[in-house]
Amino acid sequence: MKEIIKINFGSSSENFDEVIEMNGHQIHIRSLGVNYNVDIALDLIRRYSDECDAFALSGFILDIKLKNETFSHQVVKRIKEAAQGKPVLDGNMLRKTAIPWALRRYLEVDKHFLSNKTIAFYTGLVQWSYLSFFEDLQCPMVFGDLYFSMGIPASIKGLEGLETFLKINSPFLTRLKIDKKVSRDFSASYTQNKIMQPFFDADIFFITESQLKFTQLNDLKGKTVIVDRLDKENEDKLFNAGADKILNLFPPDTHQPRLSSSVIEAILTVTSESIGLTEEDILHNLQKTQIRPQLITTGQHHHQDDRFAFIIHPLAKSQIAQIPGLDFLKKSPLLDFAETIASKVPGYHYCKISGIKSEFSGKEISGDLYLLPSTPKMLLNRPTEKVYESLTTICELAHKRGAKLIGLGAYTKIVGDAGVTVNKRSPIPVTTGNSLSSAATLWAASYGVDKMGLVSKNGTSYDGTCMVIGATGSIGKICAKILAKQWKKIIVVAPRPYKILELVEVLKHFAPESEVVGTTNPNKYSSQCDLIITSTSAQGERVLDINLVKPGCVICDVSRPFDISLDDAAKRPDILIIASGEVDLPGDVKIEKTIGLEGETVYACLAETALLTLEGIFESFSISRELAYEKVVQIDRLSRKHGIRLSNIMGHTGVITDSEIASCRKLALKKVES
Amino acid sequence: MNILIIGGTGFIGQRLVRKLHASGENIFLLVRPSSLAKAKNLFSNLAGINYLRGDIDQTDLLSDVGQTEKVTHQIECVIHLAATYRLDISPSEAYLKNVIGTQNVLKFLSRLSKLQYFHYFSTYAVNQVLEGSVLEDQLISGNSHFYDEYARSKNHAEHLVRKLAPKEIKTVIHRPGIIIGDSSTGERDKNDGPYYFFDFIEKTKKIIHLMKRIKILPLPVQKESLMPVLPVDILINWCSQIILEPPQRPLSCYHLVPHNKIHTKEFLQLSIDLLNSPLKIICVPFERAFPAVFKLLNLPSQLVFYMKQTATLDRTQLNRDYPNLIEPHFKNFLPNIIDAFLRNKT
Repeated sequence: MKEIIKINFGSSSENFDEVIEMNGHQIHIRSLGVNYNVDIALDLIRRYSDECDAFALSGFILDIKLKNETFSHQVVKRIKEAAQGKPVLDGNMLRKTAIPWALRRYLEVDKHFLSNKTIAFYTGLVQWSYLSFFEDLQCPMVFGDLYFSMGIPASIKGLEGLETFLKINSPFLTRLKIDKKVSRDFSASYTQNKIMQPFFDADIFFITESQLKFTQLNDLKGKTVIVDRLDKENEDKLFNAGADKILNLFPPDTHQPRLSSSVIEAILTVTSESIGLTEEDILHNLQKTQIRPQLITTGQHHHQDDRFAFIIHPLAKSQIAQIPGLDFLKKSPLLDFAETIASKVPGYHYCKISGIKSEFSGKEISGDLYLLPSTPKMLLNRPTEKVYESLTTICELAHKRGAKLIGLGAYTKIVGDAGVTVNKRSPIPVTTGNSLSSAATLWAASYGVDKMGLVSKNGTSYDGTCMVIGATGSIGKICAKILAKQWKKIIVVAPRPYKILELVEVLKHFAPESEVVGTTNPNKYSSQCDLIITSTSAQGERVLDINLVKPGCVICDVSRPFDISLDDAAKRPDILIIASGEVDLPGDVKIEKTIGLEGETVYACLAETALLTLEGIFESFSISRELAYEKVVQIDRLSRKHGIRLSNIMGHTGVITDSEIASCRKLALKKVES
Repeated sequence: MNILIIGGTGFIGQRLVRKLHASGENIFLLVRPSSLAKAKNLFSNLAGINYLRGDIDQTDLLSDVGQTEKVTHQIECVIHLAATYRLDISPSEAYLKNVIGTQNVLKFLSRLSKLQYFHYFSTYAVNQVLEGSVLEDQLISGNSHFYDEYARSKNHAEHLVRKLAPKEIKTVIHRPGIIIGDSSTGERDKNDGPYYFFDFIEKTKKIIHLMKRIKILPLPVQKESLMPVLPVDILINWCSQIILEPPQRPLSCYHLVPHNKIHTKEFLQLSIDLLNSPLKIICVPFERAFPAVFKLLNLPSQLVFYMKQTATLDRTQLNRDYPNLIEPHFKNFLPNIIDAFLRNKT
């Protein structure tokens, strides 16, 4: 078996170790990335020079041969010494023939692809082997070498200019440090000058795969880009920079393993009968391969994006008048009638939400919002089956537009069995977003407690008492588990004693450091609690005597309808009452039309749908009224990972501002004093 | 279960071998031909251990061709904990041993027909993140800033494991914290991590009269700095549980660090007290002072990260999958560690 070692100057995370068969030979190829560390590269070459038959270099070239100038970096000598006579290939002999040939193949179908176009090369020196092809075609060329290798934002015009550049600077270039991870930013503001402008004005940009990895691109709006090879990451990068079309010269071929030029050269060298690689070998090899360059346009690209969908609906009949085209209804007596009529209208595509970008992976996604023009009243009063039908129709619509997951907003997830039936009938998975809603509510609660600043904190745990009313319910149980880990003492309240006993036992095992007390009467302990979460199905009945509650307490009212009535809330301005938390999505988020919230803020349940799409979890994550603790913890973790944060805490009547919290705190302190 | 252990003669490895052997597992050990005698001596009291000659430096792990057939049809679980560990290791050495070694192991896995589980020992330092919280499925890019080459090479190696481990088996990545001696006997192999510091304090005792006057020790530690110290016996206890009842996901990763945070300052202060030194640590928060002070104290400069890091290591997955792990408290084990340290000194 022949042994080839590929030294990749780029990242070691692309290492591989494979045996392939080519031209009747078994060839063992190992790719070792050295993360731009020349010393490691040299040590590796020394280490393997006995064992292997040839070395292939990637991301580094040996000699540069222009018309009148030849040049090689001083490291080249050391590499050749280290290799102790074993052949070292950099792929340029192959590129010299293969790239012009692939371009010619493409010109057969698109004759005017290069006519009257200026072509920009990010580094003409690295791309020297095929520049003469463009010169023969009389294409005007412009080079970014001055900036790329020396950081001087100026462009070089024409091949002669490049030769002059090399002549003047070769003493400097031979000593150029490779160890430094050069990452040139072509979008930086200081590159925007007159001397650099001809480079940016070019029509076509040519960049190699390895350069693309560590170059920050300039604005490529309306431009065409030629690449030798293209992976998904680079494709996204180019389109994100605005590129209009990409010509991929060597798209992946199912019949052949994906190999870089230098590795192909190395294979030809070790399998050839002659000594050393000749142009004849390359010609012979290329005759056997099929080359079909591929042009990718923006439209094709966006089609492959991960997309999600989300269903919204007006929360009050006054919002129907906000639907574009229906504003004349605003003060009209017809509004009630319109509410009924609107509820018979099937759901439709409302607008796009785009620019959601993970802070962890940089993955960017977009989604579609669908509007079901039914108010909560209509949704709850119509036959459940009819609502299921409308929702399923939207799911099918979303599926057709390429969504991989759909979220149910507001009351659409309350109707019937909370998404179970819709999920069964939908072609794509459905989620209610309740896991993130719960997590966001808990974030809001801790935010409230922290802002009030009345409970001392020991690291991340609170030195105080909290209470969960309705602790044996689905959401209550999760809150109790999470809070037990965070608070010194927790009181759990539920109407049935045997259920409480069971929960207390679970919590004691789950959070042994915390003191757990169970009761059926919240009023007994409410005077010592710093945080109270109520999550009951009391349907608006009073569960708590507000007058007994400790001043400065934060109450988080998760129940719908609310457990704490507006009247009760008004009685105690020294208590902070939170209804839910709203969140910000990461990235430069754009929502085409209003959804009733400011800026990038979105409903937590919409955020969950987006978050699952960012992570690539296309499943019915939260469904039915039962929630799982693990899922809330997982969603909390994913939120931190991708950068979803709490933006606002909401009270019964809207956003709670910091000044409202401050005045609440003041009143509480006053009350304690008196 | 037929378990192949790579790196079984190291500090953690030999304890893991004993533990798994005691639980009745059938142990295969990959040993470099040159250290075969040493290994046999080390485990002379354990019956039925299968020694395989081989080296992870070689593309073909097993140098003894005769054994290959036997091994490839028997091994069900591979534990890879071979790595070179020194803070002052050179980039090339770290790369050759830790990255290429792991790449060779990964290649070898594809030849094992009965393989079900692969346990890879990484380190919590693969994410040299100073602030915030580090998730179990997080792995920073290999081109980020690293304070030492060991951490960098382990980061690159873990990237490879995540990418190249066969998809049909279950892979578990163990990320231990700073491993110190046995929690009850204090037994250990070599001086690193906190032991550098113990040594330093012992040296100051030579000028104890001066120290009694000064009484303070300005250290470039931040108040919130954390030190995920874990005694080796606790680590073995946890790992063996994970190995014997492995998670059933394709890829799992655990931070093997104490659940209760250990603040660096508190830990070091207690060490000083236990070493009977009158010094009290005061925190010097000047970032610039770090390297200079370290040089002055004769501590390796790579320790800077370990003094500065305030990031918490997330344990959600570990807590969920193994809720009943024993949790040590440093106030209980540190006296034993220091005792053993002093005993070894004399």
